[in-house]
Amino acid sequence: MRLPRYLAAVTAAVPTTVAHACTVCDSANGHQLRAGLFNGHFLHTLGVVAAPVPVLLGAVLLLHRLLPGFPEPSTEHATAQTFSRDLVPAEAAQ
Amino acid sequence: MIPREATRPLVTAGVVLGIGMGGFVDGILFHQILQLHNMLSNWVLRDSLVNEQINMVWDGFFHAFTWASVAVGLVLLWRAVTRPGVLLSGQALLGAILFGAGLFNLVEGTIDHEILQVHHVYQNGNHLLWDMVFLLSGVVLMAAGWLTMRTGFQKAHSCTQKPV
Repeated sequence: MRLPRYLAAVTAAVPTTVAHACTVCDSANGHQLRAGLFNGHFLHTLGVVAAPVPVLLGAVLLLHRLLPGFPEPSTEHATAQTFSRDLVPAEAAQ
Repeated sequence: MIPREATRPLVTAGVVLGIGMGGFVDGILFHQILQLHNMLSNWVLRDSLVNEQINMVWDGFFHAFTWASVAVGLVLLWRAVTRPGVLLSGQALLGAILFGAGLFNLVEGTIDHEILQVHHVYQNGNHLLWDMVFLLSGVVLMAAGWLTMRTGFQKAHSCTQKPV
């Protein structure tokens, strides 16, 4: 894999501090972390972590295509709303 | 019936935003503040600094997805509000966001908690109960979101129908 080699190059450029506990640090901790991450299971784990993404994307596309129209408000409700709104400017004018 | 062409752009934008924001609630509240679980905490047990860091890196990938989802949602929202003929309603947008957050809980809860079992909501106890509550919260959020969307669009629609 090229990524660990790339990270090692980045590591050399990163000024290390007291803790040395970062993903790209050139320290025992950093090496352990990278060994735990970029092992033979990296792509499998990436696939597992990303598993909900295509399902969510599919759900959004399905909703976008099949979204039903929302029912209009009942006539009484609409009339009452229109009536009350019409009253406001009339009262304000007085 | 309110034409779906008038509601669809806002609904899609809100749902995508809701997925991202729902993911951020999960990541910020459960992963970071309460530390109930991490992305792989059922596979890589958090019993050492390195294992904790491995979980943290995968949490980062998860947050990258939620960030991207919010970014896409913002683009879709901008396109919706600048497109003529789209019914604009803040209440409907809130409903769509709630719906999206519920959809996130339902899908993430089913795949990550139940099928793949990469983590559970509460790692150290009766995880089934917590997982079920999480799934239920998804269904409740989706139902509440749908009702809020419907009311919001109906109010906005009756305003546009008002005689001048």
